[in-house]
Amino acid sequence: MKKTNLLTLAVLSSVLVFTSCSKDDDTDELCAECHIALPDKSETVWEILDASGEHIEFCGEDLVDAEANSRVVTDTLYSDAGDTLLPGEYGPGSANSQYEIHCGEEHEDE
Amino acid sequence: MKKFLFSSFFMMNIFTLFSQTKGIVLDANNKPLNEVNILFSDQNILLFSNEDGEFVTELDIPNNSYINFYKDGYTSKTLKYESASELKITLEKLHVILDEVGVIESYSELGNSKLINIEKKSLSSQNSISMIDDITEISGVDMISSGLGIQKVVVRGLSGMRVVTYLNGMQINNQQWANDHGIGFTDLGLSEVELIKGASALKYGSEAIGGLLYFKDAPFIANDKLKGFISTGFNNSSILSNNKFGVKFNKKNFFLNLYGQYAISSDYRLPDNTYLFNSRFKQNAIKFSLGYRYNNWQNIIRAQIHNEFPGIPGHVHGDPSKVDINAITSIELDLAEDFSIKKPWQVVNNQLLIYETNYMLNNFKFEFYAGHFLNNLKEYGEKLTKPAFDLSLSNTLLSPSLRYISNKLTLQIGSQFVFQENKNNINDRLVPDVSSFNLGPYALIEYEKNNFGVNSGMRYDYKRLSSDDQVLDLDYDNSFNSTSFSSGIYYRFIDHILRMTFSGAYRSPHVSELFSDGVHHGTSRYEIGDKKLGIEYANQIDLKYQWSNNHLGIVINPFIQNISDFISLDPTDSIISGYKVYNYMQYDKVEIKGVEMNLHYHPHQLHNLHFEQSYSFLQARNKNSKYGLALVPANSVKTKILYKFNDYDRLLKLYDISIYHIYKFNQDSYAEYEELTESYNVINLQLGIKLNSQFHCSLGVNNVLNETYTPHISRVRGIAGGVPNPGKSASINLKYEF
Repeated sequence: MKKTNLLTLAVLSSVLVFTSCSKDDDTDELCAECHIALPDKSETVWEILDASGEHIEFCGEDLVDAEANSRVVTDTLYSDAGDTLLPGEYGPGSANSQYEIHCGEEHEDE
Repeated sequence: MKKFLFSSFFMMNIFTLFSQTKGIVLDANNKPLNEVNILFSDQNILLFSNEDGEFVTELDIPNNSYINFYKDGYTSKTLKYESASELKITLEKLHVILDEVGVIESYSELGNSKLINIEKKSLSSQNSISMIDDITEISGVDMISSGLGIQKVVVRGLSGMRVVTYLNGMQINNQQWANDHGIGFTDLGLSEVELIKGASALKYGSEAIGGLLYFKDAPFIANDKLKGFISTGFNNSSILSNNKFGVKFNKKNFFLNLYGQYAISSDYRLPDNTYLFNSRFKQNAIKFSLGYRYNNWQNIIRAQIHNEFPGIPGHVHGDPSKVDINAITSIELDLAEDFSIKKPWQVVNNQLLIYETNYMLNNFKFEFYAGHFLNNLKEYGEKLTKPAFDLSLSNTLLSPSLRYISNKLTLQIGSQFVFQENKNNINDRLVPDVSSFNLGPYALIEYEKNNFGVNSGMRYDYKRLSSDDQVLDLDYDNSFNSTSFSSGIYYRFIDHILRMTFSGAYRSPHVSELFSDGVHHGTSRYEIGDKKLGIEYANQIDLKYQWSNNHLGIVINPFIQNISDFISLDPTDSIISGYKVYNYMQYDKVEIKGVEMNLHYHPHQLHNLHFEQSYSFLQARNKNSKYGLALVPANSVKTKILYKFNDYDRLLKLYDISIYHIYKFNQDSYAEYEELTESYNVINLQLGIKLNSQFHCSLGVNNVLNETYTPHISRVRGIAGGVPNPGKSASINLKYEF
């Protein structure tokens, strides 16, 4: 009886392992900040900020939409290196479709 | 007539139904040996002898089944079961462990180890850093890696599609063409790996030009009591936590093995105490094997699910050699953040289902394997929510075979049918949608008499590759076919053993080599295939000489392999989408030659001390270029000094202590886009503690000297002048068996 309980415990543990780990691929739980990136894959990026100049955190479906759709820029944006991005629509489906919207942090030199 | 046949079959089963197999195992002084492993190889069932050296099973064992007897510190024996013969086995004390031939006899899935150069490595070590690390202790074997998350086996300088992997009879295809795609499973529930170096593995396909790895699950156990274990491991370099459990259950003719694993790791620490960003990973796995025996008929179903989430470290745009190492490392770990996935990373889901059955009657054994392996690989690059590519690879293998055994002769015929479909789940793609069908009939013959043996085999393969990819506007249909062969001869004279194998194999180009066209974030390259690529042919001569006495053993294994139309991925001066462009192309002729040597010394005065050393010398020449081949490992000397405390364990609880030293020479033969790699030394220490018969502990210190080194074939060798392997680290492994 004791052994049977052990076996049951092992099976339940294995089920738990899976249920606890299967969420890693689930974008529902992901949240990230986003930026507009240059099509030549250089490191120049323009952060997507709210009206107060703070980063916007996109979560779940909003995050998926942010990366999949274009972004309208109303004010001129400046990259860290001082490159400008004029107001307009950037990203997939826009006139500037060569630009991409990327979310999630890149590793930075520390 | 039908009634007669049915009655005969029924009566035969009645006789065998109530049979009992028993025997005794003794040492050279006729004293009983307990806890001897008695493996019924054809049935995949393990028994143990009791304190009186006796073993008994109610299972009916068909005649000519192989039985292997082994116990640590003793010679092992393999014999063919005969119901009329008494099973009285004598195992002698063994000091020098060299090879399967003569000294150690064991059953090999890959064939007769006397006639084929088969090497084995146990995967049940408590001291293991990783499964692939363990395998690289074999001479001639190295790994391409970037930390523990992504590791691939290299055999005699060849890797990727040239090294074929089998798991319990099923071929594992998991986009292994790329260096950033790992082996696809863990050591969970595995007992051993068998390896054939070079092109001699006819039964398992012609494409194993580099070698064939066959991973085997631990056998079923014939025991009324439930057996199992719980284990945990920790390494402070990457805050790795690796947890496993396993149970084995047997009731009459019904057998079950069940295992589970969860492992998580952050970024690994370099010798300068920085951390390689995104070398983190998570993985989990669950697997079971279910066996049922009905008289001479055996059925096994195996299922496995394995999920892996490795980060891709060293990801850069542009020329990777010009990157500052600070751009890809972190000065500290943030434990709240640095276990979570970061761009770029992979999501790998593997599902494996195998059905194997065999039936033995008199001198015949019929075997049938049916396997289905699903591999889904998503690689996330620039975007967090949309993979750069999302590939599903479906493999189905059917493999019937028939074996006939007589006293001196073994004949085997069989065939493999492989159906494969590679499908993109999104429009972005690096390789197209492709399906393939492979048919490979083969025949093998072996003859052994006294101290002499000879074998020969031939295989014909037909492969059809077709693609109708609307996204890429590709319509392709082509077939490849060729013959492969292998012949071996074995002769034993007193303590001298000589074995020679001559083999030829071929490999048709892989879909990635034919059609790649896109950014591969895992390798930071833009890769372009060539659909005009043709078949790659290889011939190998492998000679193995072995001598041993009670205290010293030597193996010398020279080999030479010629590969014509060798497919290679070479860089160009172009840049596309910010990545350097690499083209697949073919070299007319490549020659790989070398020698592997093993030495095992055991001083007469210190029976518990073992000194083992292996040498791997390899030279790969591209006859079309002044440069060498890419990813050829440097020559090496591996030394292990092991002291077993088993005579004193009651006093100190110590089980063994070992020092493992690797010396890698300079690698001054390299491809055009590689650089010279300096020599280095790495020393690892391990201490095994057996607290009682059930509870084991292992303590280890790896890279004791905190050596800063980057192996020539490291995945991150070309980035920032070479990202070093992990610095000094400590590990602890605990295992409780019940």
